[in-house]
Amino acid sequence: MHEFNLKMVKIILVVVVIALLFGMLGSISLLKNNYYMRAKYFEMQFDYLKEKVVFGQYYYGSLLGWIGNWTGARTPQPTKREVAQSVPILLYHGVITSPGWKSDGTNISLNDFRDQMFALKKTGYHSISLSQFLDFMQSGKPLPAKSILITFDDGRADSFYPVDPILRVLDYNAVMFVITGRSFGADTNKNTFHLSEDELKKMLASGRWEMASHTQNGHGFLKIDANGNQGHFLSDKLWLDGKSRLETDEEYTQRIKIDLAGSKRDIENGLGIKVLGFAYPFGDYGNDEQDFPGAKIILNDSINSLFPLSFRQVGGNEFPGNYAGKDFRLVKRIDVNGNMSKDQLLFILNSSQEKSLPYVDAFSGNNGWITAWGNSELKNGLLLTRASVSENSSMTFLNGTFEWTDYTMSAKTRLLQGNSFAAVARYINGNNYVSCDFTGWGVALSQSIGGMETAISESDQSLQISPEKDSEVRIGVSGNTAACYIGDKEIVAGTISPSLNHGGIGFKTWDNTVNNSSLLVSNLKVDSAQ
Amino acid sequence: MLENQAKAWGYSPVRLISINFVDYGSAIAWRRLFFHTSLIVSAAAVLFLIFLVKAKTTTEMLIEPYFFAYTIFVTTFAMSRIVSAVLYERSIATLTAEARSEYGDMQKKYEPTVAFIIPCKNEERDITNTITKCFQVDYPMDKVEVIVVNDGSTDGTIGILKSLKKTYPNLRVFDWPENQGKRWAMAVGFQVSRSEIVIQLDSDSYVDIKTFRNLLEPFQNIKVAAVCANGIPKNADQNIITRMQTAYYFMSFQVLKAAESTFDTVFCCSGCCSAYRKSAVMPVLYSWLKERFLGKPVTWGDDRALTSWLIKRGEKTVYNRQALAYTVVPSTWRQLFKQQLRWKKSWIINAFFTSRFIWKKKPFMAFFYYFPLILISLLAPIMTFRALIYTPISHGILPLYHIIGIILITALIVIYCRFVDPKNKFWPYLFLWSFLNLFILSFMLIWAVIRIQDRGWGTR
Repeated sequence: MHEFNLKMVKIILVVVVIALLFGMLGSISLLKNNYYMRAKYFEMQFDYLKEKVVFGQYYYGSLLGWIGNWTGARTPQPTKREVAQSVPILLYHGVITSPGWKSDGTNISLNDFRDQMFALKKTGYHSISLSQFLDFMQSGKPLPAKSILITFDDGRADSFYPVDPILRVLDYNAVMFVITGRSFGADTNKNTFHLSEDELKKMLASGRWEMASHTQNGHGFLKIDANGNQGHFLSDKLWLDGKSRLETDEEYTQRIKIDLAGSKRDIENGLGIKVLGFAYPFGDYGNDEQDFPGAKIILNDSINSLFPLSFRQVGGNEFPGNYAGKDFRLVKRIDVNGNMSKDQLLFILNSSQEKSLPYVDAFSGNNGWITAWGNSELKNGLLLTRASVSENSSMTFLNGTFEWTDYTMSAKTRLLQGNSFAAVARYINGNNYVSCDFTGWGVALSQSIGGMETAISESDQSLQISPEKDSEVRIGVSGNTAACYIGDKEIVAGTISPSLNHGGIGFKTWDNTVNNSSLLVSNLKVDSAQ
Repeated sequence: MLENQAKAWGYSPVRLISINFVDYGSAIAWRRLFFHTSLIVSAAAVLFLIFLVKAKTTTEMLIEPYFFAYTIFVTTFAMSRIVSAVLYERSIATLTAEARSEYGDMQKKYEPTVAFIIPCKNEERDITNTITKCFQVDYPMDKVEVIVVNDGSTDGTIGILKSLKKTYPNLRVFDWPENQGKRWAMAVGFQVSRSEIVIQLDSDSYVDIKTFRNLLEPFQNIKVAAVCANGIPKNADQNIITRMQTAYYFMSFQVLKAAESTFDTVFCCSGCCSAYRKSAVMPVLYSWLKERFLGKPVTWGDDRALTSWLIKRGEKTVYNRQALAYTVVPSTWRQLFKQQLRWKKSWIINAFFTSRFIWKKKPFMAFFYYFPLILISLLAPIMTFRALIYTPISHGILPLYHIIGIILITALIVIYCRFVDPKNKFWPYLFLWSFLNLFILSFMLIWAVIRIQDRGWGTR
């Protein structure tokens, strides 16, 4: 019996040990590749709890409130009575957690990011999805006021790991623009800077993230001439070393089409989702090309044929929000980085809320005056706009007036320096607006279309411009007529281009010499026409 | 009922199968159940963490497949030891039960003649207690012999022995003017004893008088040639060195020896207290005595060598957990290292000897002998060096996971130890022993190889 028992024991041992061995090896390979077992995942859980606590304190400011938040009492829903007129998009790159990191103009520190996000939440902003955004832009589908779209570029790991716990706490979601050549494919396994296909899948599964394209391998600098000068992959013709020449139009088109289509395919096949958007690397949609002016059109066509939406960075002279309408396919993003403070960001977003008429501005606080170029500031109930040291002119416009159509703006102005200033209306962006130019020798009604300025109607009745005296000026727009006034008296009027059928208000200065024009504005009033 | 009947017949059965962890029949059963459940859960958690650590480090290890294979080996071996140890109770129970049934008559107690052989040198302090305990065992005195060999003592040992002989006339004392060595003393003891079972006892150790019979029980099975007692350091609480060793002894006996005993092949019936069947030892006595290595006689590792000779003859060597014996462990670092060096040397020499026959005689055990014991022990210094010194210096990587792995495996063993004997309070020191082993003792093997020809004892 003991011998029999011995045999049994030996068999049991062998079986158990082999089972343990295989169990060990199997578990090892499972755990090695399992996303949920990664140290980072545990860190993220911990971070989530931490952020929850911090946010609770921030939002409620008291222990009781914090406990309430902890136990799941939802933060108050934003009032949905108002509907969004425009949707701003935020662009982030990496969120840096290393202490002592200095802002580099691209990335943002975790503390700053958290401050911004918490402030947004407290102010009542909520994030929307890419498909909701597309519906809004394409068909004007109503969205509640204070909707924003949060995006991250490059598919970096540090755009996700520090960020997701915060998104989770605030109930926000975001879009990740992936450079698919760096995230998909077998040879990306060693790359821990960019997110892997596995990680992207897990992000998608969490429901907080969407993915879109940021090219396949097109986010780089390549040779554009024999001397080795570099240009952007997408918007420049590349220098072919082997053939000692630049690409032809066809070669260029072919090359970018392969890359763009490839990136779309990578995401569709790898993640099983439809790709709704494409973000231009460097924000260059052809506007930054060096050797190929025709790039813009080809790019535009290629991308529109593949993606419903394309994303670029907003220019300094543009309205930051995206308005539904015919130009919905190319949308603007606010590049938020370490150089932009939370207050600056909130200012941009809050002032993007569409303003209603009649409108009065006492300039006691900044309601949304954005410097298109030059410098502007508000002080003592006055708006001052002046040219920078290297420019002749300055322009400032009021955010949240993009959809104004028929109105009359009057203001008290004092030209401190320079030849002329203008009251601007139907401002769409820095290249498209209507202006009443007031100079020492006359008044002119002009319009700028695509950057080309033409005078519509002039009069030699001049304004007594003096740095000691205020002058009351007025600009009126109604339908496609515009008129300029001094005081109550109409001086010139004319017909403006139908392309300038809506737009906001602004002020401009000009002088022959640089750094020599500045304007004070006060007592601004805008009334609806009729 | 059966027990009462047996008691009526004057037979008090020694409980061989006192399996602590199944005794749930009292008011504190819930507490014990909770304790055991928490142990099992901890074991599962530790096992999981081991897998996690391995998973975390495989990417680095796949670049070094040998190191990875080594760590897998060590982990599997440790787990196999625990599994074997779990199966031990059953094995020892069936061994004796079988013999008992063969023996037939339940009424008859198994009481063979027994001889204690105690070689001693300069043991004036402890020898009295050792010998006294031998005469106090719970056993008919007419079947007990006590033989002491005074092996060249330079202190007052002989005087004490002479006075002890007055108290115990049956005490046989051999007085040798010159030290011949433990092996000779034992050989003479075997030769002159008139008993069936010979118990080799260290002069600073003594048997537990109540559990003495357990040491003899397995001999009922005719195939058993040696029984190893459960060594417990009596100076356990002296200092941190002794506490560490107590923890080590705890593991060494309750896990390692038990694991080996499951298959009836304990490789070393430890010299502090082991019993041998005289008729099994006599045929190998001379070969054992005359053992030489590299031109010199082998002066230590007598216990290991004798056990090996018995195994070579196909005998069964077992360990009985219930047979307690108390011994003394070194209490200074110097003594400890000298002892460990001696043990390593004897292990090396014995390895040469055993390797040659083990695969023939006990093929199953051979697998567990060569691969884990030999391979791991030999590779340990190399792998440890690589993990703790080479890789940190050349790659700047701290051996954090290696150390964590060692802690986890020790934790697994500790959990099993807590299961087997919850009252033992020395288990935390096993971690300290692990580190001592990792950083120092595993390298001692190299020094042992270098100094193999130095056959001195060093301690005492």
